[in-house]
Amino acid sequence: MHMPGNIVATSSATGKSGAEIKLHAQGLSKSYGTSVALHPIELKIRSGELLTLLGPSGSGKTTLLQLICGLVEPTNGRLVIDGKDHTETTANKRDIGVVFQNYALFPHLTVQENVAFPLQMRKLDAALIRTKVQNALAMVGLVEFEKRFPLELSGGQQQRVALARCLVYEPSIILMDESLSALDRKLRETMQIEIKRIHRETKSTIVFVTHDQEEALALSDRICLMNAGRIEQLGTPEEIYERPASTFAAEFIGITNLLRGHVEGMTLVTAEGVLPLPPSCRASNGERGALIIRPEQMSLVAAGNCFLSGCVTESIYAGSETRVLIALRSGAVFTVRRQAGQQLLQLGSEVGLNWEPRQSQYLKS
Amino acid sequence: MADLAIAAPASNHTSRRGSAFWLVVPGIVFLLAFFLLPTLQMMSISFVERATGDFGVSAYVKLFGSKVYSRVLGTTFMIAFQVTVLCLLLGYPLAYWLSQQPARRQRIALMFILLPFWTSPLVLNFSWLVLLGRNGVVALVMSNLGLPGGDDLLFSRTTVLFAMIHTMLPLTVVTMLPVMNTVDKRLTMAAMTLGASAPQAFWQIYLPLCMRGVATAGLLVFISALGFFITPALVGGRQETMISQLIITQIQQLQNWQLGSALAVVLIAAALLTIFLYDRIFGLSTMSGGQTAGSAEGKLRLFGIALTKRVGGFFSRVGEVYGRTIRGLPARKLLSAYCTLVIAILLFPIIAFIPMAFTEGSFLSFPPKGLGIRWFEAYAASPLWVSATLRSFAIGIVAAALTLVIASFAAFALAKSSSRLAGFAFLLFMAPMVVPPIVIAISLFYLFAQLQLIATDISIVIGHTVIAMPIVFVILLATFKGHDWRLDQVASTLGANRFQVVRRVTLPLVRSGVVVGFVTGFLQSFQELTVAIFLGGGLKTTLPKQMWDDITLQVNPTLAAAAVVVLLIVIIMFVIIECMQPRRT
Amino acid sequence: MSKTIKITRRNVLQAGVAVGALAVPAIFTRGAFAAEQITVSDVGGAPGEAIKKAFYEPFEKETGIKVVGVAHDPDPVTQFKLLVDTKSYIWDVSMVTPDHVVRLTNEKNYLAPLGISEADGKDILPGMLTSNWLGFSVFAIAMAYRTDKFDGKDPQSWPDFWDVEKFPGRRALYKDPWGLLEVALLADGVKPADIYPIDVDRAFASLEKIREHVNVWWTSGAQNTQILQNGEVDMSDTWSARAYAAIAGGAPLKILFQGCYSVDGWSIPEGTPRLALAQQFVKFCMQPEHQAAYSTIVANGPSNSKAFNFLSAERAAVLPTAPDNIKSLFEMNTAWWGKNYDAMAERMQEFLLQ
Repeated sequence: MHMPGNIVATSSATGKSGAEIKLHAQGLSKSYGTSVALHPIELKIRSGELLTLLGPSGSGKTTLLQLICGLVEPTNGRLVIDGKDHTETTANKRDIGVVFQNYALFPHLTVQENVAFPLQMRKLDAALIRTKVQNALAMVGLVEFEKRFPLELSGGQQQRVALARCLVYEPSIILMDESLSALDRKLRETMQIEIKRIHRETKSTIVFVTHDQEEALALSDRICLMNAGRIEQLGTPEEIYERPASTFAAEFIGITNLLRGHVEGMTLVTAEGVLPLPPSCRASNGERGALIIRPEQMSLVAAGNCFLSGCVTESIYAGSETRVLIALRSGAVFTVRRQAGQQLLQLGSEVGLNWEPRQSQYLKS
Repeated sequence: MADLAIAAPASNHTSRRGSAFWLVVPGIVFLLAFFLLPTLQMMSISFVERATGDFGVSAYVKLFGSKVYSRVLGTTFMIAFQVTVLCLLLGYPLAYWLSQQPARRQRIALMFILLPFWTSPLVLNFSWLVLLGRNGVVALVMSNLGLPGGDDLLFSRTTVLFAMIHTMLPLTVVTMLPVMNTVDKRLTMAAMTLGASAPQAFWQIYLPLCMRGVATAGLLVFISALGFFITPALVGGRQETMISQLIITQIQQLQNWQLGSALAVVLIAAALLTIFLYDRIFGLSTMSGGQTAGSAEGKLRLFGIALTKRVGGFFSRVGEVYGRTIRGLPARKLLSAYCTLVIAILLFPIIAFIPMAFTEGSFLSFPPKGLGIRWFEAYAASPLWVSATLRSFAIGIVAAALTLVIASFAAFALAKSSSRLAGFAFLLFMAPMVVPPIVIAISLFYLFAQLQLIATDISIVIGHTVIAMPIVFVILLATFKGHDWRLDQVASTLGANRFQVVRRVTLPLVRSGVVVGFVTGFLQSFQELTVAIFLGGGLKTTLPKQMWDDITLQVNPTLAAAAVVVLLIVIIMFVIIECMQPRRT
Repeated sequence: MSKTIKITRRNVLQAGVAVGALAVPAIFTRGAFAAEQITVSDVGGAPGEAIKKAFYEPFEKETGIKVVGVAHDPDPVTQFKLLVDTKSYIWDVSMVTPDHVVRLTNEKNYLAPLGISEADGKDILPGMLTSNWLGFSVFAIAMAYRTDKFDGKDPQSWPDFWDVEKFPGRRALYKDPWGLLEVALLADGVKPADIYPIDVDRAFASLEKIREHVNVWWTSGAQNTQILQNGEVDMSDTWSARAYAAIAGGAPLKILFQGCYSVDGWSIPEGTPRLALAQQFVKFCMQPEHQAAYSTIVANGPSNSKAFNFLSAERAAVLPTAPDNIKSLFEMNTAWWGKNYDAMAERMQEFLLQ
């Protein structure tokens, strides 16, 4: 079990360390009857950072998001924003912007009216509203679409309207709930760049929810990895990718090369044989754990005189690199990345796998 | 029935464009012959002078010139208007509440709400006569509570409005509900995060989004209310006379076809005008579920937005004051309590009927005097009741089968066709819904009189088929639209011939829609009175006609016994429909 | 579970088709009248039941000719005209009043002769038999009131009915001018002999005085029985047999025989192919024992003077034709109504809406 407090304490900062805390979830939890959607968590979000809530469906990330924006009342705990307790504040008074999964644009209002809506709710002067809406639409490049209805726009355009509607009233925190998941890959990448740019320009605090680890790695200042209603790991993308705190974190972040076993001396006894542990690791004899090696840190060698060996089952060409799948004797499948231009491997051929033990990582189960 | 919102006939994926379109022809021919042309013929009589046979408009001069007729027109529109507004106001919270319920509870609650809809208005009104009478159970309760006026509940405008709302409320709710069910609940959430208070989110976002359902409900209720005659005739006072009653008087009592058909023309014109206004405001295609894009600059739209903004702001302030003063009063519980009460009132006259049928006394009373099955025995022993019941069954089954065949051909053709004629055919199939049954009945009466087909079962079957056509057609169109035709194509590529495709793939998948269509058609016929009165000619008596005769000619508890039998049949049919409804995902 | 439902659904569908197939032939055999069968339309309800027992069943027994009884609309004139005009003879004999007869003969003759000789009709009371109509059911338009509501100070006349101060209580009146205008004139002090021709303005003026005090405007005989039976009103005008039905049902009612009387009778539609059988039936209905049987079941008077020989004294006393009852009744002027009914109906409508 990871104590939430520990995570905050241990996660090293990225350079914004020591920045003021924008939002603090203190022991926040949510249960529906007997089923627990979110165990009590402790989470501090810094002002101006882009934090991703990453996790599989049912991990509690959307619940946490709804608790933050006030659409769901917590079972326990407090929510502090800018040092003030906002646990009881209703959604419309929280000064938080949300970009919903399917954008939640009002179909009966035009683009312009959609974007003006939050300003009207805040009873701004009509002329001011017009200027602000124009600016927001300019920022997302949709000025000429202001008289259209949402259904007359493409998915990417709708997404940008939703973004503009959220940015226009300059909320100090923006929450994005799987906002890019409905877009195709190319558009998603464009929007990721857009969001990073807007984040830089507006200096707003953004909480981004996603189940896509690549997206999380690409966007975030920090990632909050969630699993089964708990925070699994909190840290920068590099920290999470390079030093996953658990086998779940490792697997979820996309590292499939993992072998379980028990420790004997400085080795791990696995079904594939006895493998060396990284020199820096401190493990006691007999304890169970797993060894992970990232694909790009493995090299393919001739069979024999290697840590592991197996058969090439698939070779996937992806332009700059080739991913080779290798079935080990125990049935586990390892992925190895090879730079482009190297010799092609025969399917079914026997190969060996080697790596620098210090580049591998040991995780206690 | 529960699903009025279906996609309008629009272009569809079909490789053989229009190849199935000829299937719509039988329906068009049928409706032209037994609906459109007879109606036009009947309307034309109003321009033929009774005495001379020349063209003339004296009927209209009389209609709008005389105080009595203009007063009845005024009364009719006023009552229809009041019923519509009240139905919408009372039905909206109920529909809203239903849309918030889990699917299963929604279906159960809907069953209770729809039960009075499928129970003959005759039964309901007669129940009110007994329950609200001077010595009825309501008067008794009121006097025990010390409330005055319990002895004078019947025969007034209020009673007519109450009974009509009672009849129309289920229709209102089932028309609004599908639209509410499709409103994305995240939109109000989104509005809240954008700074809207709960009242603002409701008025500015939720209400405009279900306006389409509200407007369609209003349209249907208003048009149906225009054609009412049973309720004002049975529970109305001397001033509650509506156009349909005048039509019956003119044609049945005074043989004045000219004036009678002129009144019918006014009724049709009013219905068409309503539809025209609806079309201008909401667009007809929305009735069938199409989205209106509309112009962003439309004056009406801007007006609506401004209005909802004002109202939203107002209620938002009210909410704030309310929240400050009586904080914590559970609005949800209040709504649940309201809905439970409304459903209880909807069911009250039906449930009250059952003990009345088991009375030992010679007259209908509530609570009944002694319990026994004497009147069920009388019902079973009476050749009149038994033959009426059997005839209603036979006519219902044949009419439902005929409607089903015609409507499924047409719906199949329209679902797969993008022909220009499709729009016309769609309107034609829906048209009997907006022409009051009384007009259809007298039009057919006139036609069949010429063909010497009055007082035949076949004439009633045809009349019922016309009346049941729109709803059955809508159900089947929704079924065929919802059917994934690619599955048929897949079956073909897997080696099935056309017959096998229909038998093994299409039919099993659309079966529930077909059965619901059949049962709905049967129920329409089974509870229909107007056509049966006119076309039965007093010889071919259906169950509702026998009940009507009993109410007007002889009042005894056999009527209640028969009503219980009808209720039982309706419930069985209803359960069939419910079991066949595709599970909501 | 889902398997069972599936099977049930399929069965339902198949059953529906099967029943539908069975029902089809029945639907298309229209009007398969046997040669020896006539259809008679009557007013249905309680009188209809009595007619069936007193006339249809014995006639069938005696002659072997089957009689199918059907109920017609409260005003059968339209249906009557229609079936003759379209030659769809769904009725061979119909129950009509003398003013119906007037309306069925004034513009065009819709009635066939009854073919009853003078000798055959010698026992029939005067005015009860014409060439195309036989009266057999004398009824009174009179007043009925609850005896439990007036503390012994019962209303004694129509002016009393109009006197809402002296006789408070809920009132009902017929929602139709037929018979009502006569009553209104009586209430206004017009003598029975001076009723016809009806002073329409005076009658409506009289009605106007009572209009606001009428709680129920009844529209059918059955409703009249019902509201008197269950105490919905304390006093009402009535068709005597209808009030008597409530008395027979145990309601504390008294009929005040003041007003007019009229007669229901049989007519035959012109051109029916079963004319001979229809005439045979009407002739059968003249017989005193059958008329007496009818008057025993329903409290309407017979037209055959000899019928009283078959009636008990107690029964005869409750009929409108009993000497004590008929002395304060005058005969309804059916010619006046035949001519003026349409105009009066319209004026009545206007009157009610005010």
